[in-house]
Amino acid sequence: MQADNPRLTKLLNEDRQLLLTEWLRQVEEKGTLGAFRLGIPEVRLRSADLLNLLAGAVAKAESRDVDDHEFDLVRENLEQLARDWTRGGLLPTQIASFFMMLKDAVLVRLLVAGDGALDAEAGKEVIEASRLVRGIALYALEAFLRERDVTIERQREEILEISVPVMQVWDHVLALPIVGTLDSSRTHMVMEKLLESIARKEAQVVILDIGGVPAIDTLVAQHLIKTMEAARLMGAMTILSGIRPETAQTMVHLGIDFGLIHSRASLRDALRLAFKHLNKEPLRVEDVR
Amino acid sequence: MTSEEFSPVIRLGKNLLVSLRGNLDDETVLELESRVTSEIGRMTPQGVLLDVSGLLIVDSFIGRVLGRLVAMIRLLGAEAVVVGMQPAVAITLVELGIRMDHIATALDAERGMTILERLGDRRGRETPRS
Repeated sequence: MQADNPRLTKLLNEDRQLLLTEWLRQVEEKGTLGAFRLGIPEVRLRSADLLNLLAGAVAKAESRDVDDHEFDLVRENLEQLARDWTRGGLLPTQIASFFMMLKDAVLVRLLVAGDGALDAEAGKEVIEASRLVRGIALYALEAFLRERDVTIERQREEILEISVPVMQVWDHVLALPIVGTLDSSRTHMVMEKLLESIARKEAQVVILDIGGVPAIDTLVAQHLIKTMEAARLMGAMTILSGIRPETAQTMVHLGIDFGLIHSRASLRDALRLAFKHLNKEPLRVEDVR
Repeated sequence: MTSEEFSPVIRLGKNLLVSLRGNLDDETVLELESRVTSEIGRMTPQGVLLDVSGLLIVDSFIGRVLGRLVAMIRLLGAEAVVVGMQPAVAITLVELGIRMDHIATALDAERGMTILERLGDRRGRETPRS
């Protein structure tokens, strides 16, 4: 109740502006603001908002626990802060420092209010206030880290999206140009994305164009074979396209045996074969094995 | 055997649909093989659809089971198509290096039946050698 923390309550209400000023002074002094790429007005606005909400919560709350329902608005504000500042590119340490400075500002103001000395009562209040701000700092940090995880996951998906450009070139026909090197981790990404696309688009034919792969050696060939086999297990016919004359020569010299695969020199020829497969022609068992 | 472990074998038009389920072990596999072969003998289907959409985890044992089932089905004069493989399972099978290249596959049962039809057409055209 208010009576329990008279000094803190006074600080958050009558002296709120002084507290805000002290907080911002600490932020600017310690140079963290410069690193904040957010701008002073933004930081000022956020700090002011937070203190307003905090004053409201402390007035109503019996405890100083940031998880209590009286602090709902405070927590909401912290989460929004975390969301917005994550996008601003802030580091966890910067967020933590920001709130540590609030703690320092509170202590400074409480000391000033007590004329430089604190009796036992005041001391207790300082400890409680400390605990409260620490709770706020931790909550904000947690929210911030959660938001970062979400961003990282989203970026991971975007990278996968860009690096494995599966295209639907016709009903039930997918084409995937493989560009660059094909190592085992990329192969796994390719397989995942390709198979997921086969399922989603109900593809019957997949054309793997390797015109953009600089060098086909035995290792790369193995990865290709695995990918094609995985696609076939899901019922899609796979056609390799974009094999250059030199590549064909190299592959045979290396003794790479692709086995019973369909391959064509150009994407155009591969498409032609795809359409043939899609038409209701009698199949040979070799066509579907 | 519980209902989650039982692999049903049912007729689907001219074909047979076998849905592989549960924890297949040596015993349940023998039982399944005998059910499938006797059903083929009884109804002489055009083909058999091996539905693996219910299999979420596979290993080399399952690979062998599928291979053997397909071989038995072919010996009895029918064709076989494996349908409904999950992406994760397909990846596991190729990563484990389990060869399935002699087995026909399809995304779903409907496509599987189309393949069986077309394989049947082809076989119908082959003239017997004297």
